Amino acid sequence: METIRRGSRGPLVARWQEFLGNQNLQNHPGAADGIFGAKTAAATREFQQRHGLVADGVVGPMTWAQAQALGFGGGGVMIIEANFEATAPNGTAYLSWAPRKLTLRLIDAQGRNPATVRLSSLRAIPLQFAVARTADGQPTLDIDLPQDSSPAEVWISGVFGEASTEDGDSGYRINDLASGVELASQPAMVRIRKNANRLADGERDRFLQAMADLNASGTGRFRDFRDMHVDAARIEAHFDVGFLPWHRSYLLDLERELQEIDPSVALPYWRFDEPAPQVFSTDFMGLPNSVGRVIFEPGHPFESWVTDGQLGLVRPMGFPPDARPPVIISEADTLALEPEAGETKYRGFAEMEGNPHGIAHTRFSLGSFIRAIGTAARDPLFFMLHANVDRLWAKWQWLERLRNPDDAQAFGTSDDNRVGHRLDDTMWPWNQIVTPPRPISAPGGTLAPSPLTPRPGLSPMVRDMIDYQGITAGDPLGFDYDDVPIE
Amino acid sequence: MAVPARLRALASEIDRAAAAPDAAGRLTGYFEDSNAIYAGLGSADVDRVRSYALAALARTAPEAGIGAAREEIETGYSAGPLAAAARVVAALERPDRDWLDLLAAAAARVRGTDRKVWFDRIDAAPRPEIVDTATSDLVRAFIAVSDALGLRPADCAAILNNAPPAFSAAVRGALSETRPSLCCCRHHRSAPEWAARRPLHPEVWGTPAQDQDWRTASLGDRLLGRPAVLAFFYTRCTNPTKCSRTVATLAALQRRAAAKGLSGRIAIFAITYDPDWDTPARLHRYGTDRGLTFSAHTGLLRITEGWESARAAFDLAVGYGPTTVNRHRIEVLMLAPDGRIVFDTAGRPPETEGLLTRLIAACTPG
Amino acid sequence: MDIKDYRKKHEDDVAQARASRSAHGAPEEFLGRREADADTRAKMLCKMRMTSRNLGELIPLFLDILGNKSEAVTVRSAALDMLSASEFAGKAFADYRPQVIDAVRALASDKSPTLRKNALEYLAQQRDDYARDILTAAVTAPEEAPVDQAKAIQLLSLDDHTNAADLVRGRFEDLSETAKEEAAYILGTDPTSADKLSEVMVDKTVRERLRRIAAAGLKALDLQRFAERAGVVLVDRGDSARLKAALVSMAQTARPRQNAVVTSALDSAVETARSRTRSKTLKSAAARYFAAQRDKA
Repeated sequence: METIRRGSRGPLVARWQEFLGNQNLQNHPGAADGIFGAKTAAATREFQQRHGLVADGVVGPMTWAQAQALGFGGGGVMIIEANFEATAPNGTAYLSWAPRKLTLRLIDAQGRNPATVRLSSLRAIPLQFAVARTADGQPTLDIDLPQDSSPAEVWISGVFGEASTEDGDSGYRINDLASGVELASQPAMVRIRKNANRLADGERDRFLQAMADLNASGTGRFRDFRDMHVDAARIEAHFDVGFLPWHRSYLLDLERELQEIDPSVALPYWRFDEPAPQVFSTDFMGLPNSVGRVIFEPGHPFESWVTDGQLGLVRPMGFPPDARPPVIISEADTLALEPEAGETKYRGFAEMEGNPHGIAHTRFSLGSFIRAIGTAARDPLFFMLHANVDRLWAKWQWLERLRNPDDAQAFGTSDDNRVGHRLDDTMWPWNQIVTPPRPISAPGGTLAPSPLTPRPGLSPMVRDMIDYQGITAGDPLGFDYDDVPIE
Repeated sequence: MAVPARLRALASEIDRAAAAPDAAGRLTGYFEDSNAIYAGLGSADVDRVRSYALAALARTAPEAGIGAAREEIETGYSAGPLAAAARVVAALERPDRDWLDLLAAAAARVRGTDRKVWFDRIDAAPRPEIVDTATSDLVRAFIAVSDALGLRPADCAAILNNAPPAFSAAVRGALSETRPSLCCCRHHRSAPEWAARRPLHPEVWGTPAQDQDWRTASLGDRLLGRPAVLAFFYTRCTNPTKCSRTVATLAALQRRAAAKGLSGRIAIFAITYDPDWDTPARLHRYGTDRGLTFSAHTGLLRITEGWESARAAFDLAVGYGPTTVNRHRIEVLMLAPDGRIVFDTAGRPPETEGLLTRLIAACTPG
Repeated sequence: MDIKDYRKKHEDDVAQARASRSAHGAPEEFLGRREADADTRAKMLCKMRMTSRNLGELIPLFLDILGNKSEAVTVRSAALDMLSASEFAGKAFADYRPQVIDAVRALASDKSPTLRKNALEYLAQQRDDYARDILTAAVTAPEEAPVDQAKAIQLLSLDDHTNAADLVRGRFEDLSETAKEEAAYILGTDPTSADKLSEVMVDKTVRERLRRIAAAGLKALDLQRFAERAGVVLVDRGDSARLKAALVSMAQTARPRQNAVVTSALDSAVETARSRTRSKTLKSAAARYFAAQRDKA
């Protein structure tokens, strides 16, 4: 067993403290908090003295042997240490389809050799497990932990097609295979961006509340997101090859801010090539009255939605709320977009900026906020529209297997060599550059960090947004779509 | 269709003023933001009247319009005022080279709001016969300045490369490849020359001001006794080159000053023009989003009691519409520890390093 | 789910989409079908494939159609729709903006009421002076207006730096119900209207939706006052449970930053409303309110 001494921490220390507490010592070790402090050291020295050992306060092989002779670890339960990189400060782990790493170490084998543990799902929403970073995990995994306490890796992900609907409705447990005793468990959520028309009421309401909290009647951080998408900044984000990466970064920034408010929230997408009657209802994105003013159910969080200092939303619909919007090309047609001669595949796909993206914006009648680039970000529907644009890009990347930014076909060349639209350019406003040719101010600061992944950093480059699942290298960006797998 | 009667009346007055022998003197009042003629007008209507007056100056006495034109071209976004300002510049006999960068930058800013422009009437009803736009006026001004300075396209290449393609192409097409040598005559400086601000009346230091954290203290408590930078702004400002950039610059100044060891020895504050709307919650959000770190010596303030007197005391260049500011100049001052105004950006955007240099000098003994 | 099957399905869909893509979308096709009925031609216009590469060809075509007074209203309306959509398709739009604005301004005095309304909606969003002049006149002289008063007020409100608040403040009581609601949205940007909004919020003779808009506007203008007025409504046994639920929800996202006395008075009022009501909506709004206060604590 591992030697422990003053300063050591962990489950083994806690077990040692519990054991000492039952030894009728004058020096009580204090609470079994897993921290080897002065009291634990004093109790250890007394134990060692009592049993004729060198009273140095260090629990090494001789002291362990004495303790075991007195029944230490007599329960026969292994002690392990588990560190999961996708665990948030609130104690829940947030996963998507991209595998995340769990590091296991054996602390006390309790005589088990091999020290085999089994990983399995804790709750209704399943997870899958593998020993390598792969999309093909298994429902359970048995793994032998090295006896020398060196780390073993397990890769955990959600199961494609099985997303959570609530915080903590998923998770994993680790059992001692031999005895079946549970050694550790971790609640989790398979947090996925979903079709807004199919959200459960709770998911929808949490998203709406988080958005309203971010808006805070115009005094909240939402203002920055509105201010990033103004006429003055249009060329940073539109009409060139950087359109898709910029908006991916924009949505990620917003989603992380929402998750600061409620970590169970993921940005839903408005599937604009299908009817969406649940979206266009007074419970969700609202319905327009006779003059196009959006009406919500009494008590809806958006009743006090304020942008540009003004209350309310204007969005007269150009199509019935339960119908497919006209003219927008279908998902299949979008994925089928092809380049012209001499262009990369990405460049051909990026024409989707016109149709379906631009056409989706203009399916609402004139006077709608969402109809003009300079006012679209006033309407929360805008973010769901763009989540669908991003989903289409993600799906295209998956279908075409173009996730590597160094693959020439995965991106394109700016016609004007415009800054912000080249792979190694940082993106405004997150780069905080306000000298020409960039815009004059950069609202909102750097990109919101995540407790779950170091990517893409505070000032991402265009290339950082391409491999969002971390397939070619590094960690994922921390989101996935319900109908775009990892492969 | 009806042009609001008030605008029509103002346009007639401008026409009369422009026809008078002392046109320059009679028209300059139209560029004072606090002029009572603008009280109660919306921002866009103020722009219409100002640009009408500026275009009149361009025809009659362009040199008198340099200050207003500079301010517009440096920070404006709207097509009408930019076009009128460009006409002033185009009419200058000896323009400064500074104008070229400013005109090109203005052309980039106006791309999203460009429209046809005319200044022979204030009516906005469509006129198919008009072909001028803000961009074409800016092009014309650029060419006029280049011509006056004897410049060839190659001399302006760096500026034109960063300008919108349509603007650059139009300029390059019009500028000749061969030129007489550069004129060495004196050129009109393009810095605006506003009247100097009145000295501050000592009573103003007793004015209570509430900060973004709801704490109230007098202006004197916050600003006197140390070198201070004081700006004016409001959170509903729709021109990003003005208030948003000013507050972001104050934040940058704060960071640079801290790096130079000046924290605690200087004060940096901005006072809102719009105290009823800019509640502490709004002030807090605005400053935080622009990188300002609040402290006893740095903050955003509103004056709810005595705002009218304070406005007059500071001689602020701001006008009000029915609900909020309709127009204002960029106003950033530096104050000595005794409250004297020792520097005024005079309508120009503040520059971090310039202000920092002044603050360091003010904090250095001797 | 078998990912390989999933992939195959998508690949098949894409192949089919490529194979069946019609040649629709070319301007020549539209121009060659002048004899077709207006609806068909309008649909063809809307289906034109618009990309960043062909904007220079399409925008002049749309402008031409827009300005053609002998063309059917549906076709001209479709052309305006496509012009507005072309703003998203590529940077070339900016070079045509002055012509587009000019063409749409001309539409504002067209004999078709549909086109006039569409034109004003487009121009108001672009903060156009001409549209603002027309809309201002529409508020003050609604009988002659090209759009109804409520719509005119709404379009004016798109810019919070206009004189719209002045226009509606003085004539608020004379406005139609819908126009009053639109006016209330504007008054929510005007600090001098806090009194009026405060009054409307507690007035039981006023339609409930208007009271909710007034409450939300007051919340944006003066949080303390909103909290006090909400407290008055919440403890009034005779007032609507639905309205109370709406106020509680608004209060949930409010963060009165200064006055702990007012905050605790509001908490007490919410609790009173909750304890007295049988309305599930109000009870659950109150539960969410208190849960949110706990989370923030």
